[in-house]
Amino acid sequence: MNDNIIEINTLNLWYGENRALTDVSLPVRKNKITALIGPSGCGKSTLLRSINRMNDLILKCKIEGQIMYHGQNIYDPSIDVNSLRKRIGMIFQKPNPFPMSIRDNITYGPKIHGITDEKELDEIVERSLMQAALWNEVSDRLNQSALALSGGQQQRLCIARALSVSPEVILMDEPTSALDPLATSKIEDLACELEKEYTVIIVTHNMQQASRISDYTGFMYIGKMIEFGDTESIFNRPTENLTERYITGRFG
Amino acid sequence: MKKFEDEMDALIEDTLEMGELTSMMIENSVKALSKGDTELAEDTSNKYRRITQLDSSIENDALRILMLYQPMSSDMRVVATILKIITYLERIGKYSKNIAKAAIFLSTNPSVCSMDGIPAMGEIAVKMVRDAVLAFKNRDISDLHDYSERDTYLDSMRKEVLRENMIHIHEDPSSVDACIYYISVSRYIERVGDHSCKIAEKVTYMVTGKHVEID
Repeated sequence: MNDNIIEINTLNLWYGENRALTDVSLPVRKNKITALIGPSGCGKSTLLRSINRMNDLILKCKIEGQIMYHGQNIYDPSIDVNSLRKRIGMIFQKPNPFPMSIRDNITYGPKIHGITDEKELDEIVERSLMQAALWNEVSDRLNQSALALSGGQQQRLCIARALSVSPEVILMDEPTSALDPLATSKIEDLACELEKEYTVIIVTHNMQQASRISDYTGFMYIGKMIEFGDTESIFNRPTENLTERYITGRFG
Repeated sequence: MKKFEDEMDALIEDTLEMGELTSMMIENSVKALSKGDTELAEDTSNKYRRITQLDSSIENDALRILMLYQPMSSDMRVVATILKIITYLERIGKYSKNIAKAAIFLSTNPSVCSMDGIPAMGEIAVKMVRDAVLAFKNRDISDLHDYSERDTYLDSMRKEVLRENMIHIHEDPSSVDACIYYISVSRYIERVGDHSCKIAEKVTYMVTGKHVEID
């Protein structure tokens, strides 16, 4: 049985003349955490952004190859990008809450997608904040500005916002690099909780983080997927010398 | 990175010192026993103190490296292997000390009872310790493939020594003290073989990343 929710097949991507991805293939298992690691500029964030077509926003970006999601190529002209991004949400490196109340941050997406019933919106707010492990900290001040929250709380709010539209896949681009160790640990615990209901793909520079939370790991280098496998094998005995050198810190 | 590599090199260096010292202790303790050389026995017994020092300093250094650098992949396997094998090496050192003590007792209590088999057992056990330490040093496990056979051979020789000494005790009850020492020594050597097998297992893991079991 094929448990892959997403299958990336020989993806090539150029930013103008620069080739950022070369023949990248990657299976993404449903309800698992897949980590992408590699040195800066290796293409891991580019690959992540390709998965919900964030690269469409970049001028002169050319993409070849396929990203199959539910048996359909997401680059097919018939795909509605907005509904794609509803199914595949994204969390960024820096928490980016909207400059509005905590509640409005969460209801923004569902409202765009046509939900107007206040009771239903209340339920979504509670469910999303619960799932993002933030409810207990903010339930008594939902109408206060989201910008008053701490960095770690803001990042969990962003996760709650992504969850509010009931996505299937959550893309995380270095979600803890701007957070302190305590907030990082909360986000990591959260990622592991989310795995039960969602599929998570995370880009991280922190290899301990990748080894702690992910089930599968892909190592990328200069736009290529050098090695992909279950996380324990990758961090205990990678087959590629390049992977070994990168994860033991002997690179260059 | 430089600091990490220096600390790893020092850790490996200390482990090799411990491995070489342990190899020498088991070799010399058996030699002291065979030749009745009490001076060599005393000298060997005294080396055990250095073994315990290395055991604790290597453990501290390895834990420090884990804490400070969180090594990955082959580096992690090296540190994990060292943490395990120093325990086995310490035990081999302790058995060598016990054999040296037995050598001292037996040299002053001459007995007619047979110690056939013990030098041969010693030779095999010494080779097992040496090969395992060398495999660690060179990260080459090609000499470790027959540890199971070597260990089985030691077991059967120990049983042989036991049987001969039991017969001897029946024939000449006055030899009981000496015979018990011989039986103990054969047991120590057989345990040295067991610990060498454990070192061989861990070194195989270090080199290949795969866990193996040597029966």
